[in-house]
Amino acid sequence: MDVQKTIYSIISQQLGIEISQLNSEVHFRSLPNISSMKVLQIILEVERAFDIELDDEVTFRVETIGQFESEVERLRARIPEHI
Amino acid sequence: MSNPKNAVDINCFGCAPKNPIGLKLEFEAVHRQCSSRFSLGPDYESYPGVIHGGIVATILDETLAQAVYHHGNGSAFTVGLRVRYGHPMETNIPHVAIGEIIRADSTLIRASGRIQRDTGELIAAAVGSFYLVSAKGMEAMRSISLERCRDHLHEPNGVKMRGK
Repeated sequence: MDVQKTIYSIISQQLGIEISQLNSEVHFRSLPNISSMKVLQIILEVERAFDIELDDEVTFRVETIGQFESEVERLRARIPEHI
Repeated sequence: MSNPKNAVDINCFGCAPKNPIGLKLEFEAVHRQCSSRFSLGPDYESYPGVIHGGIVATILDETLAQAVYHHGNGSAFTVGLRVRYGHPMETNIPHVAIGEIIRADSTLIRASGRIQRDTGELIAAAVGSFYLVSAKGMEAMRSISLERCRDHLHEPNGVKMRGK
């Protein structure tokens, strides 16, 4: 699964904006229609898409779409834990 | 399967109709989802006009647990709950809580849920793990609980007085 393509698609759908408005340098806070509720919705959709769980700090520390993408990539690279 | 929390002697803070300080949430199950519509008053506030975050977590816990019951998995206890808040829940505003099962085995059930305004905006979301309890185990707990209730019957407000 293409991480960037999937993330951009989710952000685009949730905010009702064009994918062409997104790139790795764009700050979340600068996006049209962004709100805390939309941020949470984006996080939940991304978690579901990649079967990962993002830390709470992501909401506050990650500023750009590129940073968010890196965090998703990092979590995807983790070796699954087996009990 | 009937919901064990609907039993007449259940005093669940989340869903029991007779608990005077409870949330009295009513649930319905449709397909894979379980949902409840509600609006909470100032008794459950933290800041003025805002429902307490712990109450929000309680609603999500109850909603996920109801999803477990409604999917025929019997009684269960919460063993893990992660809540995330997107926006304050406002007092006296209609909301809906929705829960669904993510995966289940013979011991643990994983469920997810959310609370949103009646108009659709997301307020909070949660994922939780629930440990299944056998009918025998539930009956044992009920016996212990009833025994404790009987011990407290002679005390004011049902509260056991220590050191008497």
